[in-house]
Amino acid sequence: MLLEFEKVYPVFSWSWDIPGDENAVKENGDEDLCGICRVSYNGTCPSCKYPGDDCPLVIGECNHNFHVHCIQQWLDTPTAKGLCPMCRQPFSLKRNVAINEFQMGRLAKVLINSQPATLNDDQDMMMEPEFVVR
Amino acid sequence: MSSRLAKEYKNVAKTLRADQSFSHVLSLGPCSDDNLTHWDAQIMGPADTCYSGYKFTLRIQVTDRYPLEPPKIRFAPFSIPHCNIDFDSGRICLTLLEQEHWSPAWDLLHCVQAIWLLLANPEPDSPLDVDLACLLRAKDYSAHDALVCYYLNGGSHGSRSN
Repeated sequence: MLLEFEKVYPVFSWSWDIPGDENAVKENGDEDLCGICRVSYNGTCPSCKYPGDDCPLVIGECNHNFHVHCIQQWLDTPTAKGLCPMCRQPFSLKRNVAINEFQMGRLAKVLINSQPATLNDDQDMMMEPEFVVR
Repeated sequence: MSSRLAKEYKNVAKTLRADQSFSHVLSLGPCSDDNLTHWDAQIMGPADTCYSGYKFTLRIQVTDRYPLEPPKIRFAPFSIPHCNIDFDSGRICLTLLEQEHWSPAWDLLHCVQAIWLLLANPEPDSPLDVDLACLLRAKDYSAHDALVCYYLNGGSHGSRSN
């Protein structure tokens, strides 16, 4: 038998690689949502059009995740005081996580502005030259 | 961030229907479908308080900056006597609703819930109604409850309207 393909419609799916997420139990197919905009991690923040690299996700040291635009907007407000909206611990990016790496510089600046007096080891590390763009 | 409001709108109705722990929230939703920045809520007074059996209306205003800024929430004017609520304007003294203590992790339903909890847990050390707060601080609960009752039943304005 000879089969001939006339057309091929490739379909791809993707999702962010969130370490430790595979154990999380999803109820009723609910996706995890960004705690700030309440849109799925794999969707976009309200100011973006295309998910993915245009609207990346970041993973906090406290294991709370946000669209980078959402957490940046929050940390930019004077009342955020550099704290995670979910647990109110000082927000910093989890280290050695692939998807965080490109966002280090961007958030380091915000964090330095928002909590100059209360730097702990994590932020000290983020103040090292390779993390700071001035 | 109005897409977040639309999301909340969708979820609130579902939560209120399914979750018995919110049964005291009679309604919560935008005043009109064209404008998601103004919401109304109706709550029942908590059981075993002097507010039990009464309905209260909350007026909610959401700014463009929500959820980075807290919503502005008041009771309907002249509707509720409480030591942390200004009777004339309905203004509420609750740290959660202040920019200082706000977190975008909160949503409108949880704000309403926090206000409902405030009814059962007055905080006389940061009062907006000094008279009621003084009675609570003096631990004269029967006088406090009687004064609340008097206002709830119309006070000097006449008898209870509904």
